[in-house]
Amino acid sequence: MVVVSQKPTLGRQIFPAVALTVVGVGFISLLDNPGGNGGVALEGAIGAVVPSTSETTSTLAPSPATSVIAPIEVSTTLAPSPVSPVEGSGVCDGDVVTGPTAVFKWGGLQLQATFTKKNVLCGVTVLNYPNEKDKSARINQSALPIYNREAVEIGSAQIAVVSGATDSWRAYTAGLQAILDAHPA
Amino acid sequence: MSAEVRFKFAAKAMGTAVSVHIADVVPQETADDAWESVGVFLRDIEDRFSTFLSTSEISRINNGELHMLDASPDVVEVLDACTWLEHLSNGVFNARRPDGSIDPAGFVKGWAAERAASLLAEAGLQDFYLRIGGDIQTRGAQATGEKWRVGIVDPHDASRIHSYVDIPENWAIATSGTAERGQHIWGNNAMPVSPQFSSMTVIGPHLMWADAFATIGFALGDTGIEWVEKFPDYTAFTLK
Repeated sequence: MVVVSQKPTLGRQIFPAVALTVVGVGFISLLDNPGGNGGVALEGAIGAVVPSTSETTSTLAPSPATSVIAPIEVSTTLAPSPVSPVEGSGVCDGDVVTGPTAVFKWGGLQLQATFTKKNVLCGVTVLNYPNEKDKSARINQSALPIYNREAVEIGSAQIAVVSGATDSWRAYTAGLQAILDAHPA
Repeated sequence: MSAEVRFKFAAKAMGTAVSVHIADVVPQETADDAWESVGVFLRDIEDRFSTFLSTSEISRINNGELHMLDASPDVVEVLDACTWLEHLSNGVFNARRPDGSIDPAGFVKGWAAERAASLLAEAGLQDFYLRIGGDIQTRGAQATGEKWRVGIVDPHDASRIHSYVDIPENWAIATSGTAERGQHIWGNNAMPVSPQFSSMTVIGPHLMWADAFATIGFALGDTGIEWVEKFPDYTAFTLK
């Protein structure tokens, strides 16, 4: 389900700002779907997943380039001190920042970024990807039998349609689906 | 004899074939009109998404003539979905070429097929399947009342059916394999070269996701099935 946001417009702008800043993904701004129903929303500050020795809540400044009106709250977890810290070594021994959950039309997306002590981005993890929308249609997957044989005769198995990986137009014309299509209904 | 249906249509579309088999008891005219609407829709999608047409929205975005957010809602939706998939797959799925231009072709086919199936439903049809390039969206059941039975092509011999599955009503099925790979994924060196299997099939409610998940799951190799099945309702299996 779409998380109801009190400031949907803000929510739609904030996530691209954070994602661009943290991840640097090119067309993340497409999260904002003008024709959609305002499906991107914030879930507010979310606790970091990694174990922590101390925890603070900091405010991540919005990127000025994307005209975000208000600052966004994210939870920052300070990672345990490494045994032998080396400045600029690329070790992810700095902050762990968990972004807000962005709700797409089809499900959520939440990123967690890790930094070095010098605040250089060194890792991004996808924390969750719920797919709530399909839950209403869920059935017991274990009830789905797959009949596996050496080779199945189309006639005896009453195959209605064929699924396969290689299917250019040329492959189609020489394949089984073309036979099924050409056979009178 | 194949399964019992009442109308069959097939044509060339999107570089491959589109097939529609209808089991409903409807006038010929209803079936013809529904099929026609699918053709009109797919031609429109090709006009707007093909990177081979300089006038397509995708080409105009790549040429700097059109901003992504000024594109039609369909184009924005597709690119939005590609972004989502890129994140979920940690970049295994990627609709951007190394030069920075975009090409969502790997997603558009499944998305368009699901949309086209919706058009058939809107035309009043209840029991049919629509297949584009080996990926299938079903609705309802066969004329006998049995579930749609889908044969999976033997990845080593396209003239043979390796397995088959009776899929739940309204569900979709998509298969991804080696030969298809270059079409979907650009410049990802992290992708395994020799997976333990030759094709992956994904079954679930939406063809747009089943198709994309099959592509990603196949590219992921050994962890592919586990990745796909994190999504509620989506099931994956592989053929060696």
